Amino acid sequence: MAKNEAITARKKKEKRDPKGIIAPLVVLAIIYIGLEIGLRAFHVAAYVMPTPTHIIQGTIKSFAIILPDFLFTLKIICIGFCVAIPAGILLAALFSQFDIVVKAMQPVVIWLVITPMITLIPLMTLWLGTDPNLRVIIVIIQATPIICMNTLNGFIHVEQEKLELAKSIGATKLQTFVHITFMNALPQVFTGIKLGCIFSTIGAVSADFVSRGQGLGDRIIKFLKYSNFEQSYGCIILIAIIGISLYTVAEKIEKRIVLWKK
Amino acid sequence: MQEPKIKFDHVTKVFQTRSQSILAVKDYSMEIAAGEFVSILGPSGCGKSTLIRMLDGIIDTTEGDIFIDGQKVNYAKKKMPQSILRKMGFIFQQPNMLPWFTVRENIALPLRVFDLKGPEWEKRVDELLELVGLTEYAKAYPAEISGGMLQRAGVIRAMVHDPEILLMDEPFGALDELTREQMNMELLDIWTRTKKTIIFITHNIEEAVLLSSRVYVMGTHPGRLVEIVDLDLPRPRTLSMITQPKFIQYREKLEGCIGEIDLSKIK
Amino acid sequence: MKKKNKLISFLAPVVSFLLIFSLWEIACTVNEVPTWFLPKPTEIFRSMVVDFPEFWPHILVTFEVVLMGFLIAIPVGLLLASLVTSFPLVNAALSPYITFLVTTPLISLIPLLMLMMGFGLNMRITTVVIQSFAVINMNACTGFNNVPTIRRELMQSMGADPIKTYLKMTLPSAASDIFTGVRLAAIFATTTCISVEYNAGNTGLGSQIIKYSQYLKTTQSFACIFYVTIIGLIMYGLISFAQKKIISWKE
Repeated sequence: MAKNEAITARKKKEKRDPKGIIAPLVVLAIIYIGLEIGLRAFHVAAYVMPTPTHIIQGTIKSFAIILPDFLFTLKIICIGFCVAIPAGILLAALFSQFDIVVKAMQPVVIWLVITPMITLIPLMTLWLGTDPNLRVIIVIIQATPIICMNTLNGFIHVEQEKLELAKSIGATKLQTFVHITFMNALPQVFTGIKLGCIFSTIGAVSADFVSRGQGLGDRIIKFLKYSNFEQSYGCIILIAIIGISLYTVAEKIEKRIVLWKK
Repeated sequence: MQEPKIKFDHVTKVFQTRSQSILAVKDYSMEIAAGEFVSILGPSGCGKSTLIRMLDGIIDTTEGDIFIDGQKVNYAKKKMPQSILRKMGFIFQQPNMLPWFTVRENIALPLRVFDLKGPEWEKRVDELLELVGLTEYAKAYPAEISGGMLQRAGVIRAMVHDPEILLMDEPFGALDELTREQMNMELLDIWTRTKKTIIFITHNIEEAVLLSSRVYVMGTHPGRLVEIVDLDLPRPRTLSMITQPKFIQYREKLEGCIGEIDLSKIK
Repeated sequence: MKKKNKLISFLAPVVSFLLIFSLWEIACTVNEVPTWFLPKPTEIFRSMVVDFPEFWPHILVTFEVVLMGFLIAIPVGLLLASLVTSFPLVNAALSPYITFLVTTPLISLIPLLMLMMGFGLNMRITTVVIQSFAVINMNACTGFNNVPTIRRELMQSMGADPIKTYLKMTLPSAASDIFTGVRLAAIFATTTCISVEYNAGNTGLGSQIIKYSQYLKTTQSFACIFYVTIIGLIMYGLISFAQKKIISWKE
């Protein structure tokens, strides 16, 4: 009951904020009109930046060509991201069970985060062949470590009092983990997921650039070859839309679940 | 009659949130003479903190005026000038130390902000540290010393620029009972020696009676003045006075005032 | 007791790294994995030393781009965040776009930037800057927006001017959030740099990874990947060092 009330209260608060909705829209309009006028007035070459209207027109016109690539990239990012989340959390959960394993594995996880996994793209072809769908693997290995790192951080920083509380009421190890350690780490888990989302899109686009043949990254280069700048920009905007949509979904779910965070 | 040091003249404060306006303080008036020690007593949410925040220029007033030494100090939507702010020192409910400065740097912060330079001011910092027994902790970071010590640091930070008025927002509320009693005595000692004007905000009736010469009782919904109680108790006050009949009489009277507020809230 | 703990904290990761590399080594030897497919770690380490003269110029290029881009991204991100959060209306108007900038893989601009600026250092550094400043900006904004009210009130009660308030209170309050952003930016910077080098020209470790893998010189490819890791570690180490030096207090 109380939880529902909290949710509705939060919703109301969001709705009540007209500044938060109107102001960004005004900015969008200003950017759009400003670019439109500015680019025309200064005769900016299309290869530097086409006008927003031209981008939209060009993209709509070529949408039939872009669509398969868009769906492909969407698929790669979504599947990769959706595998990386449970993989990262599960690994962190496993590591966090023993102090010694945490100590041993934390630097390894950091090492994996620091190393851009996209360095493996050229070798992936060698190992697994040229099937474009294999790019999912790049997305997974690029996004999993950062999710794992943040989650692990959350798992190991539980207040001693909370663990003592669990002990005092005789909670089992599993109960303690689910109700205390995991819940306590949720804000960090979501931080990891949101970062993982950014890493996923970067991984997918990089893979497109290197392996070519399919995907929005590849399409950008193809359009550029034929000087179709409007469509190139259109593809970039589509990638941005995929990124921000995933991020927004993650954020919305976070707000639903982590009600106690300000 | 002598001009009051601080005067609230029918002050009203309305907080405007996105959806509604909340009447935090309604038509509040009071006059405080120089060197007086008064308490503002009331339950949480009665707007007592809002009052001294308006006085100290942290938030603006909606209606009415505030005067210090006969000078109007509330400028709507405009920052209060430093010349007026310098007359006041604000003591927060939490120590509110900035964790990246040492204790001494924290205490000297008002000097840096008010641009008070010179050896006499630096000497004053050391004297104040000495006064509350923090000299050996001067170079420590706030995270390294206890809550009681931090709150002492908060008190002397508010005094370092030699203000005429001290505004105290439930300063010892977060401390344990023993430390709180000790701090109250130290505060009375400081007041007797320096004769500063003090507005002390509290929800603790005993504290209010023990410390002040007059108590303003506030009620909630909206925050308003309910009663003014003059305390005719001898000074210097001591902790042993708590058991005296006159003290108990005052306490019960104030308890009565607060009790009525609670009843009116239920209605 | 404490000493023992420290020893374990130090030894545990060493053991785990040794374990990973020995398993790798043993698996390759036992299964007779061809070197072009997956080289043994010892071969990779040997190549890192033996072929070092060949790698060195590329290491320098990559390191320069990462470091320069990163060093430009920090002030850009911080400055923007300071400006945005100073004005409530600007803050409300721009906050969705700050997230937008972070979530957009700006590396998708690489082909266009190449067209405009060529393959040179400028183009590479520009790409690194635009991909990594956004995350600093976002984290710094969070930090600036989450300054406790009571600290603001303290500065207000003294009538502190905006500059003093910023330097003495706002900036240190946000310091740990800013460092979170800076740390992430370092990771973004290396990743972006490699991605740029895949596309642009034939200098930098990214281009070498591609070149070697095309010639099936997998050992050299891995050696380059390990050098990328080392660059990442150096960045990470520098940031951790700076953080310890700057944030000497506890909240």
